[in-house]
Amino acid sequence: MATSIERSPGRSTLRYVRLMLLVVPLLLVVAIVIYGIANQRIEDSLSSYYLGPARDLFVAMLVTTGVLLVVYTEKSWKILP
Amino acid sequence: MFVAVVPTRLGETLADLPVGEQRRLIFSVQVSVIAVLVVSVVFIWLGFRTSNAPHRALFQSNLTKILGLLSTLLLIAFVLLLLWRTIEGEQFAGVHASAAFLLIFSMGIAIASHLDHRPLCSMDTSGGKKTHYAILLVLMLLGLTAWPILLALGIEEALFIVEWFEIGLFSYFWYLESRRLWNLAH
Repeated sequence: MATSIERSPGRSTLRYVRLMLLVVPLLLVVAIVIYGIANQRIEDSLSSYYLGPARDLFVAMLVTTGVLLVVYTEKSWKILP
Repeated sequence: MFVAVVPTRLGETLADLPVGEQRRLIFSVQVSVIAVLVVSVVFIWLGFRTSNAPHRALFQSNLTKILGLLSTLLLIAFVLLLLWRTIEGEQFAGVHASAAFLLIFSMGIAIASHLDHRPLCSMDTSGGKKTHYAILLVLMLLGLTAWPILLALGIEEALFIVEWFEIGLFSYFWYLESRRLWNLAH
């Protein structure tokens, strides 16, 4: 049986924010692996993917991570009973 | 965000463009930088006004005070460089590399701030080993140290390897923290 803590909507949102901060960079990892297999090479740095077809994912990942980190201010979260 | 807003090798990209296109690209970067800075300033001001500013979390111990001061000084230096290059409006030299360094340094600061962490919560499922954070921090430092060594060995992808090594370590730190705080009652 779920406890009041487990049912808390604030806690669920906080958990999703934490998980998204792991999942969002994973998008770029997967894209880089696909590009690496397709082109048979890797770039000399992570930023170099900005100059290739992974640019959209690269920018999206960094901006999303920045926004998620702003949202993730733990002390401001109020867990509802 | 500045790692994305000011792209790598911007000088080389600009050199390949006609003058009109150069001005347009520089102007678009200037607008992006100013927009992010303005929103950041408003956000910080609102944080202070609502007494919810993150700086309060930096006064928990001497270690967090030192780390907070160090990261604040680096941030100020970066903002000054950013303003200088934005007003200059040329190639934004050093901005991308500085933002990337600050990003990696901040990840290290986040891990270091947990070195004197209080006992883990009763519902912790991460294994409860505080030494995890110290090991991660040492590995991050080793990764940075390995960068020039890999370059000296002629490995062209040295930076790529180091960057993903650091991101991987920080992801593991975030995974540990997520597990540690998964059921923490507020």
